[in-house]
This record gives sequence, C-alpha cells and structure tokens, in this order.
Amino acid sequence: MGDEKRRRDDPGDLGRYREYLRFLAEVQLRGPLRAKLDPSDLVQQTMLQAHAAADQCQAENSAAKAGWLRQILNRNLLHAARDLHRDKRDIRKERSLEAAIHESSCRIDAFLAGNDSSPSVRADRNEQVARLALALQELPDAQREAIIRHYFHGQSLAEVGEKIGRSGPAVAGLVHRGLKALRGVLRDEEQSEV
Amino acid sequence: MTTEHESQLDELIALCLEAARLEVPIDREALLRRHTAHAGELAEFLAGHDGMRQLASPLNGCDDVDRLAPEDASTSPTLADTRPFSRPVDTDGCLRLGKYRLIRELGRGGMGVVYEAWQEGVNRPVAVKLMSSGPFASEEELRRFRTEAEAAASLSHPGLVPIYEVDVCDGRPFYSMEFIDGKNIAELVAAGALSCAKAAAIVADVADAVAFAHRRGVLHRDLKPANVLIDPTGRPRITDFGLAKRFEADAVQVPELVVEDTSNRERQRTEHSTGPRSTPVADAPGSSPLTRTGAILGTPSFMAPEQAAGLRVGPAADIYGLGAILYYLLTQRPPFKAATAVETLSLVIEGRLEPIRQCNTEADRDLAVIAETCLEKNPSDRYRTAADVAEDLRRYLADEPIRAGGMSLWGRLTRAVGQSRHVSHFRQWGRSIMAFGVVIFLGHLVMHLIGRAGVSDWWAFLPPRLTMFAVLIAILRWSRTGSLLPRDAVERLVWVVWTAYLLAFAAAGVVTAVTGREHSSVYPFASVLAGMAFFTLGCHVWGACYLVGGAFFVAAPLLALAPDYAVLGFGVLWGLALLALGLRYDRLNRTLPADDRS
Repeated sequence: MGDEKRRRDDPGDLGRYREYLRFLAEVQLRGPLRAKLDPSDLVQQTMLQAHAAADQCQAENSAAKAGWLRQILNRNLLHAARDLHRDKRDIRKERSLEAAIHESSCRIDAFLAGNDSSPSVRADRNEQVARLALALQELPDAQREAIIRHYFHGQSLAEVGEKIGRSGPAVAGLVHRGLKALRGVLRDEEQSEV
Repeated sequence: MTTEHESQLDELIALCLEAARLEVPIDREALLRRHTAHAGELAEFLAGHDGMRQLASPLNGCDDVDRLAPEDASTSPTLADTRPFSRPVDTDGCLRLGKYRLIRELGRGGMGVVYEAWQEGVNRPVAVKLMSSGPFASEEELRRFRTEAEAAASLSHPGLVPIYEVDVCDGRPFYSMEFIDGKNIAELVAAGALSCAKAAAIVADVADAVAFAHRRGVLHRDLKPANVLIDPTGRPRITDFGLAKRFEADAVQVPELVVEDTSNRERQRTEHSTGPRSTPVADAPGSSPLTRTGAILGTPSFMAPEQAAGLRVGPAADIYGLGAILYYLLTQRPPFKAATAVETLSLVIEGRLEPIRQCNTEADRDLAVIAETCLEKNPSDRYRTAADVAEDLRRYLADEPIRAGGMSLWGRLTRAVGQSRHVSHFRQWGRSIMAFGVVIFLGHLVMHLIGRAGVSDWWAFLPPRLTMFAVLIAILRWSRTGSLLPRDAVERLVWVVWTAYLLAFAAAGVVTAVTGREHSSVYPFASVLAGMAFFTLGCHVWGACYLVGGAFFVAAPLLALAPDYAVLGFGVLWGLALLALGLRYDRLNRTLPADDRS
C-alpha cells in the first residue's frame, strides 16, 4: 500500500515511459491518421489517465507497468481513430479499423510482452524499445522521422522523401546518420540476439 | 570526405534499404568488394541496419490501419506504389523485374529510374527504365503508355537507343532498351571542352536521328545533353524517346508550372517509386494537371520557348533542342539558366540569348550561327527540318558556306519591320485609330484653309487645334469606356510617348511664336517629333511604325521647303499613317481567334 502511494506521488516514475509511449504512438500512427492525430496529444492523454488511475495499476515491475500504459495508449488511439471515422458513418469500415488497431497492438504486445519468452527476455525487450525510444527522441527531427517511417511504417525511401521533402538518396543519408547516432542501442540489441 | 563520396554512399545505402524493404536479400560481400572505398562505412551501416530491423520488424507491418483511414481513397494516390514487387528472390541477391535482373541504378529522372540490368534468356545487358506508377493508375493510361512506348520502339535507327520491350510489372510500366556503356553529353562536357568540329559532328549525327524520327511522325520533345549518350564507338545515341509524342497529340500545358516551386521540382526529380507528380509519357488530356506539370519541370533550361509558353509543340521544338545541345557543347552551359525554374522559363520565353561567341571566343562563327538559328524564339525562323540542320553542320565540317547565313542585315530589317508586339492589347483599337486619323486630317485641313485665307495670326490657329484635341480625347474616352489613363505597362509606354510628343510640339510652337516666325514653320519640327515617337513605338507595337517614323523624318525638310502646304502635308501624313495602322489592327481583330494571345 505504501509502495503504491509512493508510486502515485512520484510523477517521474511514469515520466520515464513518456518517450517509450510516444515512440509506440508514432509507430502506430501512420498514413492519413498521422496527419490527423498528434502522437504527443495521445501520450499526454495516456499519461493523465495513468496518473488518475494509478491506484488500479497492479504492475509489479517495469515491464508490466509498460504493458499497462500500452493498453491505455491503445485504447486512446482506438477512440481517436474512431472519432475521425464517426462522421463517415461507415460501420463496416469502423469495425475493420478497430480490428486493425487491435491487431497491430497485439502484435506489439506479443513482441514486447513475449508470451513465449522468459521474464528476463521480456524485460530486456521492453528495456531496449524504451532505450531506442529515448535515443530516437535525441535525434534531429528529420533523421527520426526517416527512421520511423522507413523501418516502422515500412515506407519506401521515395515515400519518406515525399513526406519530408527530400530526395530518395537524401533520405538514405538521413537513415544512415540516424543509425550511426543510435549505434550504442543497436549494438546491444545485436549482441543480445546472438 | 567529398560530397560526391557521400552521395555515392547514400546511393548504395538507398539500394540496400530498398532491397531490404522489398525483402530481397543482397550479396553483401560482393557489394563491399565492389565498393571498397565505402566498405568500412557500409559495413557499419549494415550492422546498425540489422539491429534496427530486429527491433522494428515485429512492430512493423500493420498496413491495415493505413488503408482504412478515412481519406484513403482520395488522398493516398501512392498506395499502389507501396506494394512490393512480387517476384522471386534472385540467388545472387539482385532486384528483379520480370526476366530482368537489376544490377545497379544508372540514374533517375522525372519519369522513373533507369537501371543497368541483365536480361535472362537472351543473356544481354540492358537498361531498364522503371516508370513511376502514380500517373498510370487507370487501365486507360497504361494502355496509352504502351501505345506510345511501342510507337517509339518501332523506330530503328543507329542514332537512337532501341527499345526492346515494353511491359508492366505490378502496375508499374517499364521498358528495356539497349545498354549503352558510355557517357551522356552533359557528362562529356563536364569532363572538358570539345572542339568545334567534334561538337558539330555529334550534333549532325543527333540531327540525323531526330530527322529520322520526325519523318515517322514521332517527336522527342525533351532533347537535352543528358538524353544523348555517346556509345563506345563514339556515336551519339538519343535515349528517352519514351517521352516522344505523336504530332497530333495535344500541346503540353505549361501554365500550371508557374505555381510549382523548386522544392517540388526536386522532389519530382528524385522520387522513383511514387508520386502523382512523376511524369508520364502520356500527358494527354484527362491526366491530372500535376502530371502535366511534371512533364514540364524536367528541364526548362533546354526547353523550346513555344513549349515553355504552353503553345503547340511541333518538330521545331526538337530543332530548338538540337540548337540547345550545340550551344551547350560550345559554351558548356544551357542557353538559359536562372536560379529557379520559373525564372528560367521566362528567360526561355522572352530572354535574349547570350551570343555563343561572347561565351566562347574560340567558337567558329558559322557554327555559332547554326546553333543560334536553331535557337530562334520564333519556330518559323529556325531551320525547317532536322535534316536541314544536319546538312548545314556537314557543310560547316566540309568548310563549305553554310545556308543559314546568319541573318543578313536586310533579313534583320525585314524581320524587325514585320514584328508585332502586344497584339492582344491593341487589336481592338483599329477603329479608334482610324477615327483619330480622320479627325487629325480634318483638323489640319481646316488650319490649312485658314492659312490659305491669308490669316497669319498665331491665335487664329489655336481654336481649330484645341477643338481637334477635344474631339480626340472624346474618341479616346468613348473607345475606352470612360477611362483616359493607361491600364498597364504596355499602354503606359504608348501614353508617355504621345504625351512627350505633345509637350515637345507645344514647346516648339512657343519657340516659333516668341521668335516671331510664321505659324507654318513649326511643322517641319513637329514632323521630326512625330517621326521620333512613331519610331519609338516600332519596337513596342508594330515594326511598321519604324517606316512611318522614317516617312515623317523624310517629310520634315519637304515641309520646310513648301511652307504653304506644310500644314496640309503634315495632316495628310498623319491621316495616312493612322489609317494604315488602324486598318491593320482592324483586320487582325477580325481574323485572329477571340482568345489568341500571341
């Protein structure tokens, strides 16, 4: 009980996850949704709700807490996307959007929570993604944008270039420099996989 | 580290990234071996890339969210492009396109990307141009692309790079053509200046090939140094007849272009797999304005003025292109170049060409004349056919006198006199001008009669002259529906010229009056002033005004010799001059179509 109290009073505790959530929001918000919804708004909303509901959080460790925050974020994402659709009154489309978001978050959950892996691997992955998220926020905007769009949204260099107003090779250059800056995080990742 | 080194590295990285995205394995060791200069950085990049893929791939691949987003149908025309190619993975780690194995990227332009490739089965090296698929969304457009590319493929000439095959892979049209292992003219010139004879020989060969295509009804429309490759035997070969268009097709629409900025052009130039802005072969009616815009944005520096102005494009545009290539070979720069595409376009349309021999004093006069004749603004002032260009170049090479004797003085004069400017501004003035002529003639007739009646008092001539002015102003007001002031810069010049004339006339009148001379002695001076005013308008309105001005100059001494008829002679001259001008505009107005803006 005292433990919980301490957690709620310490905003820095949840603050640690801000970049992590922001990263996940950026990863999930793609295409036209990205143009309509601001990832940092969603994260803000998620953090506020998490603070308000900190009592209900049963999480024992950081990985579990990250999972709990992800759930809130996903719910917000879903609601926001649904609101965008509401005007269209297209129930069928709304359903499939819901399914798609659900599927994408399940996929992320499966990866991060690692149903089939040991708790230590699970913690590692969360830790890595969180570190990657933090490191990404340190990058210049163009580099981060290029990396997220290319690696996490699966966009071609030309598509990324079109979005951020650069040529294809210039995007490759951004990715190159971005990866260089992320080298520490990625090297650990590689080693842990070996 | 040089920027070229960096951009090469970026190109390699781009290749790796695209291959990975399309899930095509790459032979990394071969890649590193082939590019030893970049091996260290490339290896480091690949390691980081692998790490990122490990982290990212489980989070990636939720395409559905995209597709279901609200505006998908209308705002994501690039969706079709995001599909990876469905093709077998090659064992040696190359990208594949049908039966073509892509080896490396050779370059990219508005229309797509060109790869060096290997055609299996036939086992020959080819160049493959993969078109952007954006503009080819519909079956109709794909069909049109095929028709046009096939038309181009049917052209077989040693000066053209032959097109082997036209096909579509996953909605992306592409064509394969002979692989030419050589530099294009732009690269050639960058490597060092060419002799005049070499330049002439190259352009003569290019002109032969263009003439050949023209005889078959196909235009190139985008002739420029980068589109002419020099093959290993030294023969120039024109590529990109994919842009070639049949004569009867509609003219390229340019006006949209003006709103395009350079960043768009940059984007358009470099994107290869996506984008509605990428150019199609088929910028025909029905395609989007963006498509048409893209078609123009390619290379305004080498574009013919009529093309830049959005007018009908014919074989003369390719003749201009030949001249532009020759100009580039001789001066190492395009005929017109400004900081932005829009400025370049306006130079192309209106700017004066810097004479070749001012850029390169070594250039032979005859050769410069040939290039400058090709580069004439007015299509009808250029060579008539590409064959004529080739012929004249060969005459130059054989040390024979060339046909385009430059322009003789007489030629220049007749052209200057025939030239008409701002026709659309003045076309409706015909009747008013004739009315001016009649009023001025009548006014002077009255003054003549007063003079004949023996009146020599200065004041006696003032009432008829002022009445004449009042009537002229009334006509002006009436014909311009109430407004007396100039409406724009074109009119302003006419206004200021005639205002200056009237003030000078008045001053001359005062001078003759205070020096106690006869009233008639002002007319020789007035005639000189009128001559000057008309002459000035020669370059602004119609070249014939030079002749009118000359007539006034010639008349001046005659009026001085016959003072009794000076007033009448001056009035007759004015009447005739304005009648001629007015009749001409009246006729123009009736013959020109209502919306003609030339």
